[in-house]
Amino acid sequence: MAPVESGIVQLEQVAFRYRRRAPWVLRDVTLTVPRGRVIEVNGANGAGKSTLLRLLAGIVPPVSGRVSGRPARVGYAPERFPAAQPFTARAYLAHLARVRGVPFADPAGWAERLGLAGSLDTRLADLSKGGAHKAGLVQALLASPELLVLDEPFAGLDTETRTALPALLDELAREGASVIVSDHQGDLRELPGIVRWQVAGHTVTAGDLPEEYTVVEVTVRADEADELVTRLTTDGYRARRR
Amino acid sequence: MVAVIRFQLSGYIRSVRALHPVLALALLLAIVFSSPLGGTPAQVRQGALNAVADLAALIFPICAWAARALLDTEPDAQRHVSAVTAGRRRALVAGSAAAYAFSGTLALIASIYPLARAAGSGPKVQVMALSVVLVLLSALAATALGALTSRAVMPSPGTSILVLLGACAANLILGLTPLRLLAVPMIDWMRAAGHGPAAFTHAFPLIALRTLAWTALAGALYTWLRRTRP
Repeated sequence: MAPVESGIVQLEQVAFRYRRRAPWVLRDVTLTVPRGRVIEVNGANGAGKSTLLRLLAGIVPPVSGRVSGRPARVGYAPERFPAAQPFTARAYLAHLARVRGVPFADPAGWAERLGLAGSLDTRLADLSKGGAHKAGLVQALLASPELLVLDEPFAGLDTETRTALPALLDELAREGASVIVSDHQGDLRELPGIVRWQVAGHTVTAGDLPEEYTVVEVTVRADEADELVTRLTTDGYRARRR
Repeated sequence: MVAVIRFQLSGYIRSVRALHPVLALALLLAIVFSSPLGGTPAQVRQGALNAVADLAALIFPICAWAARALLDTEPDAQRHVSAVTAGRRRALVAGSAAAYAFSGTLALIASIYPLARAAGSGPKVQVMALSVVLVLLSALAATALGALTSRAVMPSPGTSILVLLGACAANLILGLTPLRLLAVPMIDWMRAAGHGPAAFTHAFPLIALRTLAWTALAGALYTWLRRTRP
């Protein structure tokens, strides 16, 4: 893992809500995106993970506070790829490559590496959920983004791609990109040097897992899982059901 | 910018949605020009002018609908991806430009038949040119209304259709009242055309200015609303 040089995007006292008088989704968020690292964003459903990613990617401006330092080349893959578009995967990616000002010849082999190469001439609407999701990931990787923002990238992927993706993201981070990934399925758990952000209570807590802590996996009967999580939480451990 | 516009237009034209306004326009042209424009060359010229003025008003809801449909063809998540890929401002301007280009093309196509008929009757070049500009201006104002009712601004389809059709009807009704300065001056241009080429030419600058002002205000409102609506 490359050493942390500096931050790229800074959020200062950022607050966001979708409408006037709507409840705040995020408040008082101050954090720095470290350069050359993979950042895993955790949090319960509806905690504001996707909103945080949209703020970081520049899709929405903060209602108050400041987001600064966003690089020119940003890649973003939404949680659900919009497959209802009248293009083949190849035509779609070629259009987005032109928007970015780069030729789409798949130079880095993203389509190949993500297992999309065989489906490039399939219409987006005819792709499987996982296939469409891969198209979304490939478009985010076009033009070597300096900041890559992926919302639940592991959802719907086949086992092979799911296994390959963490290494691919780590490779991008080693090359200097900052990779921000929301993931509540623990696929990035084994990645060395990963930075973790926790979204809860309308704010974001940043920080690696301290050295004196580690993660223990426990296999348990499905009908006993919730009870075990409750017991561990009561005992003061941070536990969750996958 | 051109690549984003191409992407938007390509998505719209490849979808069946683009056929709706084209078919509606074909139907409109067939109805408006189903009867002869007149007997003598002067009557044909006057008939063509009246028909183009009516057409400029009737094309308004079609172009508004087309602009709304074009902008709505892009799914919400793709709009977010495009905003990141092209930049929010560039994606916004490109979407509007694509809608204006499509509506403008519809307006020009709609103008071909009446102008061709009038051309055979010794038309005045200035009146012909102003007629085309009028249809084009109506299409531009309609596009601004369509953008204001697009999903990014009005997520509820029921509300947006109601607002779009309501605004089209309100334009006509306001045009008959003292508050007509607030409306796209459709009634004024139809009346001016009805009074003949001289009256139409005389009234045109103010009509054009009011239509442009309406378009600019609606466009500015759309841009302002989109600041917080990705």
